[in-house]
Amino acid sequence: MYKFKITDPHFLPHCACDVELTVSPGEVVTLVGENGLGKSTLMNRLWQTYAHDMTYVEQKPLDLFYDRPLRKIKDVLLKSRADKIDKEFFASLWKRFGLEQKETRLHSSLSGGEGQALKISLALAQMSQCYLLDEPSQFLDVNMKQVLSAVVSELQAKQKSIVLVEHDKEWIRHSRFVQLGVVDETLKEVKSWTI
Amino acid sequence: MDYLIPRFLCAFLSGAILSQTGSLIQMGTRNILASPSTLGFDGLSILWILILHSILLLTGYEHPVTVLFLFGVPVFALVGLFFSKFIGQSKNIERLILLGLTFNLLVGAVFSLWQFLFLAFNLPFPVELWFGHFRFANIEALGILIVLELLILLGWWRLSKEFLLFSLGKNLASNWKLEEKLVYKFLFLTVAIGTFTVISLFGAFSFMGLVFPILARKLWFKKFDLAGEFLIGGFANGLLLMAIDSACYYFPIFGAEIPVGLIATAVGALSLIFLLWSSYRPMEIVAKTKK
Repeated sequence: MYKFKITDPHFLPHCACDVELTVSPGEVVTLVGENGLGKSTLMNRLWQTYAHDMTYVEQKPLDLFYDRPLRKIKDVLLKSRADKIDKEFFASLWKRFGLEQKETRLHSSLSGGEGQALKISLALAQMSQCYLLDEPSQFLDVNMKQVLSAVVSELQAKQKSIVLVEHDKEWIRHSRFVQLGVVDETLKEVKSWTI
Repeated sequence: MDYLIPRFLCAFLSGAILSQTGSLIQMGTRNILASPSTLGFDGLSILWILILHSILLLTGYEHPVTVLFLFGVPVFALVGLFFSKFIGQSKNIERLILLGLTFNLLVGAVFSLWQFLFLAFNLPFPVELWFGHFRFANIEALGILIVLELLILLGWWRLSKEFLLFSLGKNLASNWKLEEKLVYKFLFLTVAIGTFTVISLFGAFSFMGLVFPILARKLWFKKFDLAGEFLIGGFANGLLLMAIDSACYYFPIFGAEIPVGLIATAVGALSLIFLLWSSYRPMEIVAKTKK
């Protein structure tokens, strides 16, 4: 169970309210709100507080120094952090995100969506209690989005906590969502909110 | 021959150390223009040697090169630790590189002024401070370089897993609990002490740490990672510097040897101009239409 509270009035100036977030194991929480409100900042703050048992997938793409083929990138991660990787899950992620067929391709030749899939696979391979995903479905195509949704459900079944930032109504429909800032009336039709 | 073996080995080890420090700093800052020379470590080393040399000269003490080295190591260990905190968290590396280059220019000017003052007061200017030259190589210097190289390799071996992870990017690495502080400490201590050692023993070698790693990366560009660049690249560049030094020794011009450091600076500066120019060349995309 993660309880997180911010009472700094300058943290979310548009919102002008305290932020209180509770995430229990096996729960998916989606943060919703207008752009520039501080959702990513909130995620960052959350990660800084609980960095020891959380995995954080940022919006930024990977900043690799050496341009390597995907297979090499995978090997590097397996070599450097073999003890912290759920190898079976990693292999399945690699396969489902379609990275297996692209193993010989260089990182620089990947498209935005493929890069995003790679970033998510590398981050989710880690055995954590909680995953913070900042707009994980950005750049992903329809199939990839379905894969991502299935992966999130699997993690949920394993009693992992997941906090997402998303603007997609499909995500909001299938999870508890927390709306920051001005309440968006159109979202009422999708689901009633809990905060 | 007894003199030549230490000399060529010193050239080899200096080349390897300069290449390795360059590789480390380029990956640490994730910028191919970062190097001991462009970040001002060269300038700091030269300035420190100038100051220490002048103090020793004024006090009338004997000042072999190894004394200069021993006095400087603790100071440069501190410099390395300071930089690990300062540059390690900085996101604006380009600006720091500009700052470092400008600082090097300043030191160059101070160096010339110093030389002028020595001439004006009819004092002998210390030849050790001239551009990199292995004429001053001896067994002591070789011993120092061997110990330093062994320490660098030991640190590298201990932290190789961390560096592997670090090469995947800072965002991902911080997720996987990278020992970031330790990595930066090792990196900047190696760069500060490595650069200072080579410069205090043999004089300035500007731009080598910049060009050598880039050269190494060009050789095995597709399969490359830091392990290869650090070990094979270091070895190859050590051999290259040894070859240049032997060329300087065996083919002198009018009886005088050209210093290796001078050649390296000229080639390095040219490479830097080429690198900057090629990276700023605008890319042109022309859409072809069917007629």
